Amino acid sequence: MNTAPAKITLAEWEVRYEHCGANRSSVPYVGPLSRHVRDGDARLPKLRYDNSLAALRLWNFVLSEEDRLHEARLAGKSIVGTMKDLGTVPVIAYATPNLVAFYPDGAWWTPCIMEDSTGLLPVADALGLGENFCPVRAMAGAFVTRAHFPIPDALVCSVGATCDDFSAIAQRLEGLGYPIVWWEIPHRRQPSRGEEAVTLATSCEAPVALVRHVSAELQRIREILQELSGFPINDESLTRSIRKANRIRTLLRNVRQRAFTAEPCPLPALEVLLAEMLAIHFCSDQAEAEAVLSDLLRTTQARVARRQGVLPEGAVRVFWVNPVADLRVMNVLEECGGRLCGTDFLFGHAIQPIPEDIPPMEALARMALADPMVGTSEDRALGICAEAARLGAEAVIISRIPGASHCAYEGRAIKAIVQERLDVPVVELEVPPLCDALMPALRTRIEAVVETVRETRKSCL
Amino acid sequence: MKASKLPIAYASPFVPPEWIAAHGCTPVRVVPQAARDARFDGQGVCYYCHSLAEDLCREAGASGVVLTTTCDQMRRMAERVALEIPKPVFLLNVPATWRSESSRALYRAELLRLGDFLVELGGQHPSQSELAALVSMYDEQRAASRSAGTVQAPRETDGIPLALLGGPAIREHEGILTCIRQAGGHVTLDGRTGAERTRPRPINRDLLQHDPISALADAYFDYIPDAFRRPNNRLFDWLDSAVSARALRGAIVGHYVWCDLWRAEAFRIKERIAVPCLVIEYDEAPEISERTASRIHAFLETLQ
Repeated sequence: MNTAPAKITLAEWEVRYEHCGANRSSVPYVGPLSRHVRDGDARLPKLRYDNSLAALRLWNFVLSEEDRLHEARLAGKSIVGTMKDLGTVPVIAYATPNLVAFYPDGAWWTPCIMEDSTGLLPVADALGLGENFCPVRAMAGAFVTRAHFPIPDALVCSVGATCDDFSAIAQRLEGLGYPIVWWEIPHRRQPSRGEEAVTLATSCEAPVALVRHVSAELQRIREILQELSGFPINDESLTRSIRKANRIRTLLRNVRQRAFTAEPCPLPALEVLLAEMLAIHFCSDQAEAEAVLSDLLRTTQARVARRQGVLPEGAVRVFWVNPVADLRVMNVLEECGGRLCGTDFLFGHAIQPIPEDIPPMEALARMALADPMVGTSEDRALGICAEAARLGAEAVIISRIPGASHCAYEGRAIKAIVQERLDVPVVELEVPPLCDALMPALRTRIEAVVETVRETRKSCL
Repeated sequence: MKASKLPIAYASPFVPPEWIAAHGCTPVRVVPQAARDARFDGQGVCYYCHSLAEDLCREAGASGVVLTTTCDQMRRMAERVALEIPKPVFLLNVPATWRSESSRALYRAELLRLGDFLVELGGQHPSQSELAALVSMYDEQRAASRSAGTVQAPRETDGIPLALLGGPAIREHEGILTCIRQAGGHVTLDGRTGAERTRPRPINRDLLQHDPISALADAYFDYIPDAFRRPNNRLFDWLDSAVSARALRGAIVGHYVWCDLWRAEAFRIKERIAVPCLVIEYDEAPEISERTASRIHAFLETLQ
């Protein structure tokens, strides 16, 4: 059935599901989204979705991850909880056939998706991780209640130049009896004069000495995962895993490029955000993540070829900084007349290709050091400026993560640099896990940005 | 070694002052005054970092500044301070992890990089024997200070023996000590950053002879317990032994509003420590607030 692209409600998806052939899908996890609502995902009826089968598959893939992890355990695989590094350690874990890696950090969206019906945040409160901490504190609640992901066989956490919230929450977990293998990701400093340096995937430079340090740290992780797996993780298997990761990253970059640049916008912001999440750990299934993104890319390409989109032409082009704790806000951006034209969801390094022409551990170390969080705010802001300019952004929105100690300062620092460098409006918002009470104010601020850009467009005519 | 007049400001206990001195510079440890003016925009910044930044902006005397990566606010503050003050700022990378050889090697390499920075400012690289002599001298001074301050069994007249724990202090936190005294308490264990808890351990004399930089790493990096270290069991090991050795009857843990590290540890300390514990959030103002003072008084009243 050839239906015009559109954004539809969950109820509309239910009707469409029966008629579009999705019910005959051979992909086992594809089903009507309402089944996830029955499982407690209460936020879903309040969202608007892309109406393609590819998007339905994407949503089902993401929402069925916990089932997949439980199935993996039943199948005798070991589960590795990789925390904070966003994109590096999973590539090592997936170099073996019997490890499955996932980010317990992902629980930070659970209070949103389940509209806090699970009580994860009150559990975190009781552990001393109150609302002064970032919503990732829900992860601690998920470990205590054991009602979500299976408790991993090993926990690996990067620390050092990371956010203190996460470090403190992870330490609290260890204090509760969940042993953690810590590895150091150092602050990415500028190379000293005359010091040997390399250019990273995100165009920043790093001293070779730091690359060697991170490589040694990752080597330690590699040995631990190898022991857990019982299979060798040698350079050959790592190279294969890097190639697979790169195929996924290439697919994602292609989806993003079209979603950000084609007119009219061929893919909604919410589905772009979801697709980007696949890059960091492949949603616990590398092969299926590739299939899901291939499907999404085909759909996006077809829409672009037919000049079809999900938004009216001329939507205001917004570059979005930081992931939103409430997914609904991505819908709101579009309801206000905006569209995504670029993102920095804190894991830009997980989207860039991993070098294949250098030893694999060095390649992974370079990627870890390219993390926008480990460098200076200026580095990150300049990267945002370059991307926003390349993608023709008309506005930049920086969404703060409530309670994140770095965010309150870093958001302001980034805003100042972007305002100085780009002649576009820049706005900061704070997005808590459930924004319903704040929605009128958030909507007003986003509308103000959109109106400002439209006025500017008129004055340029 | 030539004596130099180059004063170098630093704040973190992970910066060995003898290393600065060995390069012919004068280490000046900064305990900041509370932030008061609007020169430095402190929105979203922890009050300690804000106060330190203002102090560094005001203080014209230092020839260079050494800050550390021990928390994300301080790491970002170094970037900001470097833009605000007309003097070189060095950010010393102190790894959070301490059990791997690569982290220890990183700290050691950072000390060498700090040495190069000091030389660029006008200092001089020390010879191994000069360094060993200076490290030894600082170590002896610390030993003398430790034995002078050896804790006697608390007397009743001193007040209720307490531990004061938490991150670094600003000068005005002297008001908290006064408040504790007025309420009938006596701080017999100062476990704040920059005080007793964060003193390096005695220098390994054998190591000092053939590798003084490793001896410094051993005394500072390998030993000092802190909330940012991963894992941080040494903080609790230190606390357990200090509490039992000092016959403490209570503890007060202070943290700043934006300090996630000590906020989280305050809760764990409360769970773990064998004596009653009060957690206070430091006021974002120079003076100690009525509320904080009342809480301290009420806490000590319960311990009478």
